[in-house]
Amino acid sequence: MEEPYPIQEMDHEDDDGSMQLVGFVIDNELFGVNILMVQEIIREMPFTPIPNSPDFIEGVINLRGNIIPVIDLRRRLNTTSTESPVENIWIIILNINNRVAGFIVDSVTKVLKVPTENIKPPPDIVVSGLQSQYITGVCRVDERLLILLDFNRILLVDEIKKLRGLNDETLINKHDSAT
Amino acid sequence: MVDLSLLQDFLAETVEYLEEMKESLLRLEADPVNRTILDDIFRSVHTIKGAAEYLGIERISELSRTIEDLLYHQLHRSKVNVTPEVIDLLSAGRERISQLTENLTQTQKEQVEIDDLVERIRVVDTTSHISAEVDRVAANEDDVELSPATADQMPSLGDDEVEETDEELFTIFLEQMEEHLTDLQTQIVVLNDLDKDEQITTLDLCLSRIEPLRASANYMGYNQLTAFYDNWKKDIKTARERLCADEDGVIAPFISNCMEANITTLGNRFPRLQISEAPAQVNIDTSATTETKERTRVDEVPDILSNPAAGDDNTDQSRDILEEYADAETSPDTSTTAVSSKDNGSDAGLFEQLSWSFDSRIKQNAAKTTDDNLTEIESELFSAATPEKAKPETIATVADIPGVDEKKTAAPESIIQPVTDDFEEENDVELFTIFKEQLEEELSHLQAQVKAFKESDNETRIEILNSCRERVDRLCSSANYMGYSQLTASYEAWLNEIATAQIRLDMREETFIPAFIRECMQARITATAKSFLGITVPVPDQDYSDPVPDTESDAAEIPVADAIADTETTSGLKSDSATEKSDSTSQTEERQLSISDPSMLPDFIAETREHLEEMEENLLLLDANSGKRETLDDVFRSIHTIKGAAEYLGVERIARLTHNLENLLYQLRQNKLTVSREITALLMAGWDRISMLTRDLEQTQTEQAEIDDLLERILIIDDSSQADPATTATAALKSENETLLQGTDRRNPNQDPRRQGDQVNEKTIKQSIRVDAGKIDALMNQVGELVVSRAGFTQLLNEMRDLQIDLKQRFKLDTREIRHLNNMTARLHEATTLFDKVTNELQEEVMKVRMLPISQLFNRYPRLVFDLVRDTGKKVQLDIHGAETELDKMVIEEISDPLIHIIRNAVDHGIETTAERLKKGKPETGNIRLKAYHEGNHVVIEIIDDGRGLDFNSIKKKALAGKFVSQKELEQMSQHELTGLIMKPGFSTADSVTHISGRGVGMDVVRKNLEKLNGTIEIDTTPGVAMRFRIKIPLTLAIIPALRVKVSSELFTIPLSTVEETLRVPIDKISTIEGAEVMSFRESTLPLVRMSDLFNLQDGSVDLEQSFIVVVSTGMKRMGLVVDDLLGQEEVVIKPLADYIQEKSGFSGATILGDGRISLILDVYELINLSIKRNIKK
Repeated sequence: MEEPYPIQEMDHEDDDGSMQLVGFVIDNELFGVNILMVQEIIREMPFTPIPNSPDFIEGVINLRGNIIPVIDLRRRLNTTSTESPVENIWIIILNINNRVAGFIVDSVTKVLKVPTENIKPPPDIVVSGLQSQYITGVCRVDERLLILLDFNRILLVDEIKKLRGLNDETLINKHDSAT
Repeated sequence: MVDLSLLQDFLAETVEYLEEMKESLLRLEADPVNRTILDDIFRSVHTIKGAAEYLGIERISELSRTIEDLLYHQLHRSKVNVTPEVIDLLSAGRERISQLTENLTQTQKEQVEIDDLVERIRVVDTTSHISAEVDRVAANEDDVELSPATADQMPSLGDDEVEETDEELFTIFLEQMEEHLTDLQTQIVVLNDLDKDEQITTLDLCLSRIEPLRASANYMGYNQLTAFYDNWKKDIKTARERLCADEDGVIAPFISNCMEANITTLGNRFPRLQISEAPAQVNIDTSATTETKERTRVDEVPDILSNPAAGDDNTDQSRDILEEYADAETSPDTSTTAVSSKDNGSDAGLFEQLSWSFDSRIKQNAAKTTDDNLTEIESELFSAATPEKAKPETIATVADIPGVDEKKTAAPESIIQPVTDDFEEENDVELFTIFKEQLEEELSHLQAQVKAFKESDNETRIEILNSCRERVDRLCSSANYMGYSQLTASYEAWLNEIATAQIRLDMREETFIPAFIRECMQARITATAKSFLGITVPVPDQDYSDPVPDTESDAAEIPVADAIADTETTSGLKSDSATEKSDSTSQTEERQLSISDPSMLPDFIAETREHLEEMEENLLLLDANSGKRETLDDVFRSIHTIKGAAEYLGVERIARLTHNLENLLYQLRQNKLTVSREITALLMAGWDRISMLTRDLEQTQTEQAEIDDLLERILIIDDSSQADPATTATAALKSENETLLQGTDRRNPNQDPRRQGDQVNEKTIKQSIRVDAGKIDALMNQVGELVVSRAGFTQLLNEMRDLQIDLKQRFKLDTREIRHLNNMTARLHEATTLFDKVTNELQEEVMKVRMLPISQLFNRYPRLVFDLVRDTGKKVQLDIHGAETELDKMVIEEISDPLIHIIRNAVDHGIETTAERLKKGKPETGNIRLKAYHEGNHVVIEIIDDGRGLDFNSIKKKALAGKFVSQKELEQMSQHELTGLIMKPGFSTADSVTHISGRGVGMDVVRKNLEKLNGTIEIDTTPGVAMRFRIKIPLTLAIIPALRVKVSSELFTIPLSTVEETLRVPIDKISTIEGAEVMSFRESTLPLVRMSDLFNLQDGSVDLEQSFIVVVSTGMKRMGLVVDDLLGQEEVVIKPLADYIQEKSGFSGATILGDGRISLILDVYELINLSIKRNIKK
């Protein structure tokens, strides 16, 4: 269960040395994920919340008989922006090392083809308020900066568990102050 | 007797394999060169054989064995295509096995005869050996007929892989040669037309051309090619001298006889080398390569013969060539050390072949050369090839190496296997016994002589060698008589070695003696003895009374290591460093690969497990009935079967261990030892070790557990019992063993018709199929989906009814108007009911498929108790009831550990020592009862012991000491609650930690595992008298009955197994103690938890006056969950949540409701913990 942090292969390249990405937008920021990880993209559907789970776990959905957790990427990445969530959200279902999870994003762009050499390592400084540990690289697409997210890191199980523990504590504390 | 239930399995399995085989055969027909297909077939046949042998199904096993042999030979000759004849035979064999299987299914008897087919296969098998040889020889040497001697050679001359010398280098060499030869050719063409002076210059030029060729041949290490060039040069020089001396008519014959002939020879040879050596690099058939080289060298003989000028040194040359041959053989042999072990004995054969081909060569040459020359040359050559003159010399060079090689025989994985196979085939036990006795005797003598040999002087040594030779010769002839061709070949090689040694002794050489003794004599003796298991020969320089073969094998292993070192040095001298490097890697590979066919490992492991299981039962029985003969026989048989398979696969340690255990058992059976605690313990230790090794194999494909300590222990006991000389005992063991096995093998139905008939009447064979567990799981999942959709239908029906009522009330429709709708509802209701029924049945049936009797689990525990009791002064009897109770396979696996802990506790803490029990007036033997039975949708397992029970005072003390509770709490606690304390992690009442228990982990594990299963545990105890654990677990894990509740807007599911009761309580009945809500429930206080609080949801209760309370319990703890609404009971399919969500969340999974919504399933135990934590925080 507790796999060591898997090294992300510098991704499945096409023969012509380029990589296909699915781009998505959160708070006007462009992100990307390797197309090979994407299982499907669905529109918003009803979640069943999981009590006492970390706040970025939005809940679970019933995807044709499979129960799949849905993670709010905005919360998971702690993006600094405080813009209110968009009305019509999308859920990208990713297969991350055989763990299937859904991620809530504001919108999804078309499939992008990016030459591998254009992908630069993440800058050490924080990009748009999100810690560089979640970033595998950045590249320029149509005059915009696209951030390649490291979903292996985002779905790092130990971290999530720890976060839940924290959550539990704060919850109890909240409870304390309430009573 | 054949076990009927096993027979069923066997038949089902065999049919499966036959089916596979049929397919493979079809494929093979289309693609006869594909070895993978052959491998597949081999595997199928082997499995059938194994099972048939195990069950004593005689004809099938014999037939499959024959087929296997055939396949084995086919498999090990990569070069030979499978002929249609062989495929036909395989098909026929398959057909026959299939007929036999059918016979068995219908009548439990094998009726179809097999002898004709076996005969046919054997004939083809033998002829195909020969034809293989023919093919090979023909491939290398088109114009030579087959030597009859080759038929006697090893069936497989090795298909092992060896890197040839540097290919690049060789190419360069050839290129250079080509260039120079072409040049020479042109020179020769013009030579005739030139005048004398020019001719001399040209000859000089030729010489200068040949010189670099010679140099590079020398560089390449082709000594004999170098010699050839030397001769050539000499010839040219002679011609030149004669030219200078103004002799006439020199040049024409010189050109045709020497120059042209030589060039043609080289031209002929090297294209062939290119052809035959290059494939060798790909195909990597060393022996073939060796032979090719040999042949090439042999080719040279006539070439030289055809050169009259060189005729003078014919004898010398042929001797040289023979030496070359020896060298040639030496270097590939050394470079492939392990390979040559397979070639064991082929040296002699090869030599024979070689001299034979000399012979034929010469004969052919006779046509070309002059008549008078012929006889002379031929006789000279003959003399060179016969022992008188040249052979000793040649062999002297060869001998060192074969000496080294033969030792490899001692390596368990090489020759021994095929040899033993041969022996098992032997039908005539008596003959075989005699043969073995002789063998043993001779070997012992030899051994003694080897010892004497060391200490005596040269004269006596020669004498000793003579007598050794005699003995080996005798062995050789009896092996020949028995038809063991490999063994015969090995003996022949041995004889040669001895002869060489004699000659060397004659020549007063002494340095080789230690090596000779160690590498040739002893290694051979050990190897031979080893190939016949059960034959023991005393080992020199070691304790004579030490009869166990593994010491021998140790002894044999040391020389192997030496040999490898030796050969490495030799090859280092003879080949360039690149070759050496590849050699040594090939060696290490060979050594590491001790398991002959890894693909058979899984089968072996599964089989061994089965045998182990059986053996365990019998071992316990053995302990109980103190060594009843039948039980001993059963154990013996299990061990023997494991041993056989382990040896076949080269699983060394298991083979050695089982072999020794077998020896021990033999002593028991001979009543030389009586079954004592010590011995049963030893046998069990052996059992454990085999299981360990099996596990090792499964996990790492290698054997890791050490066995030497155990072997030591077995030896000590074994030795103490040895009244007779060891050798006779073990020899007897072997024959006894044979008879026993023969006995089992010959459980021919015909011999015992009465019994067989009875059985047919008793029980007709049930059909069974073996299905992959994954498929059943998939089926179960689908049924799960069906259950979900059934819920959907029910909901639909309800909605329909609501609609009906709605229409009736709101739109005031009259009965006629609404009749249609009513009709519809009724039909829907009917359909739903039917659907319901079918789904239920389907679910039940599918669940039944997964059900296994709990005896699978219970059978493990007698051994556990036996082990636990062994070191204590206790007597414990384990009673098992209801072992036939069926339970989901997954549940059985999960419940195993908890039961072990409980039983351990019962033995260690519960049951008192005998003395104590007697003092208390209890029966001397403690009793533990294991009981299983169905209770509704659950299985209850009870573990009851009549030991001392729980000591509440001690629990209280420990609880306080360990700060599990406060003094105040403790005073309030009921006995029930006190009992619950033992489930706490880290809680132990034991004063000291023993090796069995006392660390306080056990009960915690029990609890955790049960939680996973949605099971509960109850503990009852009467201090000083008894203790009872009652475990209640659901029949299956996939689908559970559950209660659906509503909290706020969310739906939750509570497993019904944890629900004790549901209550509707007026609000004023709930009181608050220290901030926690409680209510009085059946004269005790029930803590309450508001689910909406726990889950941070809005309080959604509608009715403010009354609350719904679900009383849940984990067996030890009880709690009331306050919910907003109760929605009813339903079967739900558990779906797992992602691990990072599920762990410690209070949910054990989720389920999908009829309308597609998700409802989380509560993990009651975790929930109780969670709420306790909250309360503590508060």
